[in-house]
Amino acid sequence: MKNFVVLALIVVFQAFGNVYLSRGMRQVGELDALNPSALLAFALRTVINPWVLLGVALLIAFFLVYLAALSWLELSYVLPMTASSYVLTALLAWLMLGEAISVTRWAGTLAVCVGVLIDGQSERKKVAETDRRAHPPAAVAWKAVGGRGEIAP
Amino acid sequence: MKTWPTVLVVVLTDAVGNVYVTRGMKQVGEVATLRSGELLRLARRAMTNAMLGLGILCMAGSFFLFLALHSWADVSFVLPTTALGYPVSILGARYLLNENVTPARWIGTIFICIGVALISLQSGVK
Repeated sequence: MKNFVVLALIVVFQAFGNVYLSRGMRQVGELDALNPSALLAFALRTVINPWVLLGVALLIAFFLVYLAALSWLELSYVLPMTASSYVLTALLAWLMLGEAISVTRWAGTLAVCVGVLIDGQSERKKVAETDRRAHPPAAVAWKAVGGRGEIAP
Repeated sequence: MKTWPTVLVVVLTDAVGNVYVTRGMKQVGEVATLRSGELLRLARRAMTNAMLGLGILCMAGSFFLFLALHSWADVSFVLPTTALGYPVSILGARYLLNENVTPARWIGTIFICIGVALISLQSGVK
């Protein structure tokens, strides 16, 4: 449950962060000249844009939760799972930014979904197996009712 | 000609960054509570962890090199190559972190790699 909540937060923070940053940068406009005053004006417009600020805040939150997840989960599990943010980003770009999504992109989104499902499924099996091996049924039941520590022999 | 070596460095530094960040966070300790005192203690430990710092440095370097790559290479070439970061990071997890990467995880990662490449193929088009 904890794993699911943390992975979901990672995906949601990253996807919304990207979308808001993108919306903000479109309002800021393109950088068209490279002279110092144009650069300064561009930088100022960027750092006072509320959408940019919201996007950056969300991306910072994403990175902190990602670090927290890695403190107890394996990298080879977390990294593939967080790829679902590509799927959410595609959906949000379509719904919120009105971007047209090509067939290639939907195909890619589908492939990512399949990959994430395979990865998530494999982890569930692995956890169930190690739980059975490491904790005999009595210990699992003890934990399930909220018991802490080990059962006295 | 310098494009492929740069892509390689971008992918490798990103993967090494992920590996170091993971190792660092395992040293810092599990974030097991949301109590502010405990979180503060973990944050202090995180900020002084060399592995974690090195990992973040690698990731930041990878990101800036990635931006630099955009200045001379085609977006439609640069973006899909970022998908390579997934399998390379999993290799790092397997051989540097000694994680138990099951066949299902490999298959899942390959699907994701292909998917991310397809998604980013047209990301540069407005």
